[in-house]
Amino acid sequence: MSEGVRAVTCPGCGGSVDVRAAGFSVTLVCQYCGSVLDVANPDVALIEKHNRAAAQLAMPLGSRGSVRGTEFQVVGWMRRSIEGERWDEYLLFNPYVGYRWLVEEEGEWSFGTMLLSLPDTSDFPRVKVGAASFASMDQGYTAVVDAVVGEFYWRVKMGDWVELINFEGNGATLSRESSGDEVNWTVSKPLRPGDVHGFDGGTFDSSAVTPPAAFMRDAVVAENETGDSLWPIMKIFGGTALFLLLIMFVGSLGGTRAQSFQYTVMRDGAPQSSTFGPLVFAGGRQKVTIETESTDFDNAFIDLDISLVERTTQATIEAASVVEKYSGYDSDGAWSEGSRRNATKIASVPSGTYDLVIEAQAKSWPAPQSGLGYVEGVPMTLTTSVSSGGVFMSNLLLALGLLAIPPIWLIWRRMQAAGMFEESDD
Amino acid sequence: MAALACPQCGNELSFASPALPVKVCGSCRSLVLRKDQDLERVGEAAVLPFDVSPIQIMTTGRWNNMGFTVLGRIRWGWAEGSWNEWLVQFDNGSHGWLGEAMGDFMLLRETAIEPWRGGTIAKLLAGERPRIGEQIDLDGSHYSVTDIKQATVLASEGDLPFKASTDWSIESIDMRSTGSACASFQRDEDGSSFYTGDALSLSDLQLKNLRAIDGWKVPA
Repeated sequence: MSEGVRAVTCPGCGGSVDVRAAGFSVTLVCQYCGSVLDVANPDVALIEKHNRAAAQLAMPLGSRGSVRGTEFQVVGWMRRSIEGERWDEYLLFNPYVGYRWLVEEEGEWSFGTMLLSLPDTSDFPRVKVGAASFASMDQGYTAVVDAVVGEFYWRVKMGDWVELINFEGNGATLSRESSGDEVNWTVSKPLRPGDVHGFDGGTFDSSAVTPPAAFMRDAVVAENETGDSLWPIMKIFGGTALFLLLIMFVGSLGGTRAQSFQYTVMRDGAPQSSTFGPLVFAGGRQKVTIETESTDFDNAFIDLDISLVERTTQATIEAASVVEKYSGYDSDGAWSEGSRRNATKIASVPSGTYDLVIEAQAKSWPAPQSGLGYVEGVPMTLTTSVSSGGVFMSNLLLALGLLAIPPIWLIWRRMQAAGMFEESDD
Repeated sequence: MAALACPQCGNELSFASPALPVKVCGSCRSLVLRKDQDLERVGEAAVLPFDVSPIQIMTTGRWNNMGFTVLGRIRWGWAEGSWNEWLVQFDNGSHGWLGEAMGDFMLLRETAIEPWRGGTIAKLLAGERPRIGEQIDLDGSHYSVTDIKQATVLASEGDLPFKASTDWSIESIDMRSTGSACASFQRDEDGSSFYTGDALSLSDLQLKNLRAIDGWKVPA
C-alpha cells in the first residue's frame, strides 16, 4: 500500500502541509501563512511569501465526502468574482476518478467536470458537446481569483483572471474559461439535496444543498414541454390566423401610397439618428403604419425609436419597434426566430406636415466576443416605409377570436375523449 | 520472456518483447539496453518522484475491444508541472502510450507520418510552431491544437522501446477534437513522431490491478 499523501514543509512559515494529489499538484497555497509554493518538483520552492491566515472554509481542506455516490477529498479552494459578485469553488480529488469542482454561489450548488473533448463552436453562440446543445446567455465576463488556498494542478494565484462565458442547455451550464493561449471547458450540473454527503469539519451542511434557481426554471419548462400536446391543433389555428392576417394586410396596402426611406446603421455601433421628410397627412385623423426592414442579417436586433414631429407645432408622436432575427442549428435541426421586418402602427395621427425621426441601434445577440468569429462594425441597410391606413390589432383580435371557436371546440372534444373531466380514483 | 542479469548489480531482468529493448533495472535503476543476449548499461534512470497515480506496472485494461498491460513509464516534466506516459503492450503484441495528466488519460498509438505529409503536419515536419487553437483536419477528424510543451524526461521505469535518458527534451504538441479522438505530435532534433488515439477517463479503460493508495478504496 502506497502512502496517500506527501508531507512538505512550507518554506514560508515552517508549517507541515500535506500534498494530497502528489504528482498532479504544481502549486500549493499554504493554509497557515498563505505563501504560494511550487510543489511540482521534489524540492519545494517559495514563489510568493505571505503572512496571513487562510479563511475558514465551509469544507475544510482534506475533508472527505461523497458527491452522487463517489468519494472525494477537498484539496483546494478558490473564491472568485465577476464585478463583485462572488462564488466559491472547491477543488475535489480522488486518485481513481480525477478532479471535480463543487461550486457554491449564495447557497446554490453545482458539480463541475472538465471536458476531455472540445465543444463544436462552428455555430457560435450555440455550441455543442456531442449531441447536447448549449447557448450563451451573456457576452462573457472577466472572473478574478480573490482568494485561494490548498493545492492545484496549475499555477494559480490571487488576482489571476480569466475570460468566462457561460452557455446554458440540457439542464447544465457549459463554461468557457480562457486566458492567453489556454482555453478550458467545464460542464456544471445542478446539485440537489441528497447529492452531497459528508465534507464535515466546517460549516457545510449537506442537507441545505440546493440547485441554482436557473436550473429549477429549466426543469419547469422541461416538464411543461412533455405530456400530451395540443400543438397540432394550435398549428392549424395559427396557420389559419396567419392566412387571415395576410389577406387583411394585403387588403390594406391598396389604400395609400407608402413613402420609403433608406439609411444604414453599424452593427454593434453607437445609436444613429436620421431625419426624413416631409410626410404630409391630409385626411383629418388617420392610422399610420411604419414598417422597417433590413435584408441580410442574422443573430441581431435593431432597436428603433421612431418619432413623427409636426413641422409647425413641433407636436411629437412617439413609437418604438424592434427588428430581430436569430437562427442556428441544434439537435432538432435548423431553427430560426424573428423576422427581418417589423411594423409599428400609430392609431390616430392628426393631419399636418411631419418629419420622421428615427434613432436606430443594431446589436448582435449574444454580444460579440472577440476572436470567436464575429465581424464587428458591419453596416446594415434599413428601409423604413410609412403609409397611412394600417390594420389594427383590435380588429384582428376580434377576427382571431371568431377563428378560435373551432379549435377550442376541438380541444374540448379531445379532453372529453381523454377522460379529463371524469372523476379520478387516485 | 528472456531472463538476463543486470550488468551493474546482477539483478535478474526479464524482457517482455523484442520491440522493447530498454529496461530500467528495478534494483539499481541502471538503464540497460539489450542486443540479442547481450546487455549493456547505457545510463541511469532518476528515482521517480512520489505521486498518487492509480496506474502501476502490470496494471491491465481494455481499449477498443483489445486488452493491454502496462509495462513501463516515462515521467515527463515541463515548466509548470509533469505527467506520466505509461507504455502499454496490447494483446496482439503492439504497443501504445497511456498519457496521464490532471487525472485524465489519452491512449495513443504511433501512426506513420507519411500519409500526413500535406498541410499542417508538413509545416510541423518543417519545424514550424503551430498556434494554440489552430485547426487541423486529419483522416476525417477535425483537430484543434490545445497544448504545446517543451518536455524533459524526469525519470522512467520498466520496459521501454527506446532509451529515455534523463534530460532528453522533446517538443510535444497535443491536439483534441470535438469527439474523443486526440493526437500528439512530438519532435526533437533527431526527428518527429505522430500519435493518434482517444481522450478518456479512468473508468473508460476497464482497469484491473490498479495501484492501492493509502486511504482510498480501489474501484472494483
